[in-house]
Amino acid sequence: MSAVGIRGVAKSYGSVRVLERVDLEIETGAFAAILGVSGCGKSTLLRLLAGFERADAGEIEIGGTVVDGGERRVPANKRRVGFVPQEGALFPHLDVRGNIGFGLPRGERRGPRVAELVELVGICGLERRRPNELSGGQQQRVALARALATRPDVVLLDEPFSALDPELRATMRAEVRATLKSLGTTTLLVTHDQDEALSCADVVAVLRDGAISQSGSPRELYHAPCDAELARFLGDANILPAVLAGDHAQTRLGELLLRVSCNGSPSREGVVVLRPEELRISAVNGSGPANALVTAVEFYGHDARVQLVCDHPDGSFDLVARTTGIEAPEIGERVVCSARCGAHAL
Amino acid sequence: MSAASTAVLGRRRYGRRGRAPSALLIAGLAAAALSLIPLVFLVLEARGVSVGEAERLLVRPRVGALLVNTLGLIAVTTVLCSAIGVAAAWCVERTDLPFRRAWMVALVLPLAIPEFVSSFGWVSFFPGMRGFAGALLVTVVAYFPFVFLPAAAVLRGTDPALEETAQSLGLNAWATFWRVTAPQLRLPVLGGSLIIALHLLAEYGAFAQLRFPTFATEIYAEYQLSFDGANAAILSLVLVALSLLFLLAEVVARGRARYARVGSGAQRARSRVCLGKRRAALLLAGLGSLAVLSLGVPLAALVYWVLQGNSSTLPAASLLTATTTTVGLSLTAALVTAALALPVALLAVRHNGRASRLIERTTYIPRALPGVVIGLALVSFCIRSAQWLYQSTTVLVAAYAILFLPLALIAIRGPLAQVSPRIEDVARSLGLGPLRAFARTTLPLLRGGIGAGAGLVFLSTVTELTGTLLLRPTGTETLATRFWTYASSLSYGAAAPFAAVMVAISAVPAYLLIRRLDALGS
Repeated sequence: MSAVGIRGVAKSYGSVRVLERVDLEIETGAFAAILGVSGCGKSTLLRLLAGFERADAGEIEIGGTVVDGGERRVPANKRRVGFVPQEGALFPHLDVRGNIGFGLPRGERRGPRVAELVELVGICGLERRRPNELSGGQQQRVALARALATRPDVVLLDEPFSALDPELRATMRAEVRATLKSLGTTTLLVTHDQDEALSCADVVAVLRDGAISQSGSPRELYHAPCDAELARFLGDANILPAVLAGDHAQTRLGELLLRVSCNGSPSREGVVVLRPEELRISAVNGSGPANALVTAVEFYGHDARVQLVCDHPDGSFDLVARTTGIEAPEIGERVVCSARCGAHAL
Repeated sequence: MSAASTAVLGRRRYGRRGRAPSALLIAGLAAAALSLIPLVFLVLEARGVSVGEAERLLVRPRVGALLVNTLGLIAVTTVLCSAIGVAAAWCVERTDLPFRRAWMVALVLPLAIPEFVSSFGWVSFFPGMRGFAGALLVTVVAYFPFVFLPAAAVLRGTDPALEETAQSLGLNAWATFWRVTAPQLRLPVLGGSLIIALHLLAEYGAFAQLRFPTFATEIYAEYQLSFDGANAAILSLVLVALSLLFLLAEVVARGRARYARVGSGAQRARSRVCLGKRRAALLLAGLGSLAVLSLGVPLAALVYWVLQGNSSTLPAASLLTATTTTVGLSLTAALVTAALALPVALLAVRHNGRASRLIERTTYIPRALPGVVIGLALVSFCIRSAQWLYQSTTVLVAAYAILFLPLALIAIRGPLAQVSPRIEDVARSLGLGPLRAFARTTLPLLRGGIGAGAGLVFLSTVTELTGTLLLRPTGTETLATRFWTYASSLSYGAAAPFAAVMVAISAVPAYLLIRRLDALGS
């Protein structure tokens, strides 16, 4: 059974259509991410799920109950949905304990449940602090504990890590994921950061132009995006025009193997996607004549991003490749560039 | 989030669109309707006058003289107040003048003395002080703090780097002041001048004592003379039109700029202008005379007349009764006004739609309605539509609420804009209904703003004279009306104690203003 079902949901503000038609099912216990550029309606979708806004059309189901659809509408306070907003939004007039216990009945606000959560998110000793006395990461932990206190069926995370510095962001991400996974809580994370979505979600849904353009596991999305725009959105991508026939594609980089063959269909014009790390760069000696000139190298230590201009009788073309740090070429070097593995045809 | 980014978020202004709950809309509409009553009944009253009669009333030498008096006084007073206010602020904030903190207090304290008390002080010592010159002296020394305070705040708050950059670009001190500092003082001077102009239009008590006829005194006299609302209403419309003109002029002059929001970030200490002995002595003498004129004379008069009075002229019982009545009325007015302002502020900040904007703007209309006009309009309202309310405490409190709603609204709006509506969302998602979510998150955070708004209303009510004179129930005496009765019959010894209590109560907001300015600097 799916924990969250979104079916044909639409929402406009005045004449601005924010969500056209969103369909998405999230399995119980899954950690799902909704990925989209800023302003694409991700936060609106989250607000609809939480019950802060009402959908114009469509149906939202949480835990098997329709909470928004037709005449039925369950108010936000009856939905059992935990919400962790972007900046934490801790109650500035309450200390950590007051914040975490906020949603509990009066008698339990000082009880063992709060202590349990303090331990769960790892902020022991900070119970009496005020929100302004906490670091960013601590604030996010308190916000998470507060959302979990009432044992919600679903937790919604609205770009919770975007205000943190990059190093802390990665740690917090892993920590929050581990906590929520261990509790088995269904989680929906909204983010504009593709690294964040790919690295911590079981399922990623890309929201574009008011609809889900593709959803699937991070691997599926990265290696088999549904179009060029999505391919570029998820990371660097070389998009090459190709003639597709059977399990091969004829491109300016030579003949490439296709990961999924289009057997049965006649040969056609199309494009293939090659990720930078799917290209191999090797020195001239041995592996054949040089076919590319290195024009720029961004060296990161563990790896390097290499920009190339490839020769071709019909005119040279640009490629981006990624090599390990020790293999990184120098600018101006002539190299041999070839595909390391099969390509994805669009 | 680092501490720095928390600070940034803390200063962020929040707002959101969304349909307002109907209960909130109804409460806001009630406040707006209340605010509209004076204007509506003013117009109704004026409609009773035929066109010919209105023309006869308006086109006559007397009205011309009133216009010249009122506008002339406004022009000269605002210019002098701006010059004095800016110069004093510069001395206190930018020079090494001795006793700066004491000067700061002395230059803000005149705000604690109601105009009709300071004019009382002058007239009681110099009975010959009448007409334009007297009015000019009393109003300039009473009102210059309205420019001094914001100007000092801006001078203190602006980044010293701006002026240092100008100097490094080759500008001398004088050129730096005119090309860098002065443009930043435009907003405080404009804002202060607007407040002064509105006060001058509305003031009745001081000008009645100084025998300087303005629209406000004439309207009151006209009403007292004939109890005919129509004539007074026609003159009131002129007065309202003038106030609206000034409000509009200020909006146009301000343009797209906003009042300087002065950050509280850590700042380098600013180097002060070294005055040297001779110039310091000169400035001390100047500021000293200003303090004598604005504080010394009125306070000395109060002390003198309190001491002059004896047991026969100081009935302790009536002082106590008047104080109790005043405090009771002012507390009620403060609570009612804050309760009316809260839904309007919520609508304006949280549900910024067409209806909300209309409601908020309507509640600002009374800014252009002097107390005498609101008083007369409510008298007309009672006589026409609610006889049973005439001369009741309810109408008096309603008048205070209408008069001071804009004050409370401004005080609540600011803090509310800094409370993220997200926290209420979070409370909802934790299982709280809308009302409880508000009561447990936003409301506790607004305590400061609501308290400040209610406090301002309380203190303004304590010194309110004109509306109270027109609307109070028979037998109800506040500090201001008691003072007025005695002062009008030249029983200065009997009047002074009532004024002294009012000044003591009004010193509280002046003190708070100084504290706020201190907080800005440290």
